Amino acid sequence: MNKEYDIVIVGSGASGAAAAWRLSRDQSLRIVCLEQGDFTDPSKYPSTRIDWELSRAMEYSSKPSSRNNLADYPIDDSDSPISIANFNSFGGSTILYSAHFPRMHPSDFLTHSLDGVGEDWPVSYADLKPYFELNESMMGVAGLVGDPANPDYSSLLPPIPLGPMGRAVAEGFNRLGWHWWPSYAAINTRNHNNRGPCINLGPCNIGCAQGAKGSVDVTYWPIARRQGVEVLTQCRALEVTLDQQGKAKGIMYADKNGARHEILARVVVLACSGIGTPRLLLNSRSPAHPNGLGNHSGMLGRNLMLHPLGYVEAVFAKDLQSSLGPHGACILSQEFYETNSDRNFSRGYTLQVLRGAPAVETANTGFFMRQIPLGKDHHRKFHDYFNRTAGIAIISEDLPELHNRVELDDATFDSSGMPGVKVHYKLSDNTKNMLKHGVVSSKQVLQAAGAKVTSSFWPVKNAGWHLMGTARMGSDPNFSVVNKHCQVHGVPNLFVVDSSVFVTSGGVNPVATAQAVTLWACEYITKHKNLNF
Amino acid sequence: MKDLKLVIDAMLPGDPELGMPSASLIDFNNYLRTYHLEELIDAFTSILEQVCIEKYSQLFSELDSIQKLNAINACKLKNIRIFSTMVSHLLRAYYTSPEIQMKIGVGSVPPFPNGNSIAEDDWSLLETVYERGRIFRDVS
Repeated sequence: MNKEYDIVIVGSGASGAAAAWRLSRDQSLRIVCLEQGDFTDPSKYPSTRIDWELSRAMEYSSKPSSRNNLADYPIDDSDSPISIANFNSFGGSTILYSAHFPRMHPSDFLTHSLDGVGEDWPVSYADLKPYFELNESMMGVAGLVGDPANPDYSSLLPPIPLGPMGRAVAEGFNRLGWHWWPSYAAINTRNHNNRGPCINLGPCNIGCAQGAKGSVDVTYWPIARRQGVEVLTQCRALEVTLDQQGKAKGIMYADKNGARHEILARVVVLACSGIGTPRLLLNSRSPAHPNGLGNHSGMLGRNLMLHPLGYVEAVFAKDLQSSLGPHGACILSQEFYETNSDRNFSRGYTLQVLRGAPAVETANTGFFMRQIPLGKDHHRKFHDYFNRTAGIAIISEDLPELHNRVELDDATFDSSGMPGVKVHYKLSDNTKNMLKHGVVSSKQVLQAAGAKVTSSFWPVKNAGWHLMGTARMGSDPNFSVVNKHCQVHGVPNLFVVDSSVFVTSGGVNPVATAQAVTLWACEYITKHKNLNF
Repeated sequence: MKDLKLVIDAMLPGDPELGMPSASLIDFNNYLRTYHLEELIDAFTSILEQVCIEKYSQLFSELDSIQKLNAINACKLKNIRIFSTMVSHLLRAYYTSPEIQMKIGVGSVPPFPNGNSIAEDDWSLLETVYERGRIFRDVS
């Protein structure tokens, strides 16, 4: 059975939700969203149970291979030092993200002009500024205005509390004279948009049962659905179909029983992530597009950027209740964000101060790091670590490189029979030098704060959350997949609005920028009367 | 092995000074049933029995506390995957049991009636950062 809509959106995560909300403000449009995962029920999130930590290794793991969920698709990342992390459900990976919400900097959009690396974006920070602001209002972002490392924000919710550990680390930054600032986090710190405030439980990354974390199922989606957007869950998009003029005609998808359907739409909007979007386009092969739709340039799937992470952990002598509060959101430092010619790398990184590990993680990590033994000394050593640790994650700017890529894996298939993906990824020397520098800096901060460094390593294996660059934006169709309006070159009614279109990655979590780009692209779509592309 | 309690108490004995109970005082059997780990226990205890015979020519239950812990740790060399999985599950079971969470001070526990309060911050800490002035790059 074929159904006709004005717009079909594929993917209900960060960008799909923002698109659904923005496009449905015109309630004359008939809009549908396809999501391969199912709805989640916040009242059943693991954080409502005392054994919530266990779910991080099971159904709420960030590793698709650990979840045993039919919504997931095979991802072979054996040729990458970083494993891909995601979550396929209504709301996408925002259900599990830590909600760090910094914006990219003005310089991030001009890396080639300023530093001779990467490429310039065809849009600027100034172009996106109104969309950053709109998005922050919709998502509910806590922070503090006046940050010297960022152009000023007009409005933010009150900052996330630092807690005793955060204050101790802040004093360490101050002793070194380095920048720090309370984290920008999509977490309500007071009532905002009919959602309550955070009550400092800690486990943000298994779903926030409180609804304080700005996952899009509780921010954009309730309004988008009231505005009339239909959502079809457990429906996997298999192919973008084309009409005889070569325009997008709709989406072929499989429902939860495996039955095939085609949705017809005048505009197709893809928001399936930096892995899912190229997968769908690569699978949309036809005689006119034998290497995948939108792949005339050969750029589709290439330039994958993952933000390799470094990590340093330290322990304080005193109990600083470090495990209390939103785990990922405490302090950020952008002391080393901008290029400095005295360093042996271009561009830079953000330091994110993370709160201490919860009990099971403290015990398990401590055992395997030979810090907390079994036997009679166990409890004393556990006591010396629990609630006394702090971590710093180093988010390095990842520059685009052609050999870092996603391709279809015709040897593996998902539950609908669609090919899985292979990821090929290597760290550049620039990234390695950046991470080494970040590890040294992080150690300096933690030592200046009076803590003892207990471990440091890079790259962090299970941290491939930030999936960017695989359908890059550009003015030249020979070197890009979409134009500055996120419109696929050569297919004017097909749009990609997620972080696949990033030209460079910046050194910050991508969601704020991805959603700003989504709103920017949707503004362009809605300017076209009758969606006539 | 007949007595799993002996094994897990050797791994996590009580600590009266810190008020921490030994592992056998939590409901480990319920955890094993919930997560279908009977095969893991069989595999681990089989390796442990073998180690005890090879190393001490005795049964696990006949060893003193130091020998018991040495035997358990020696299982790592026999099969690191089974040893690591066993340790992980015991630590998970122990530190997710309500009585242990209360004793170690994890703060509010589910179903989270009140959450945790964190004291107000003194933002004068940021004064030096702010006074340093703008550090982001001018692209105009």
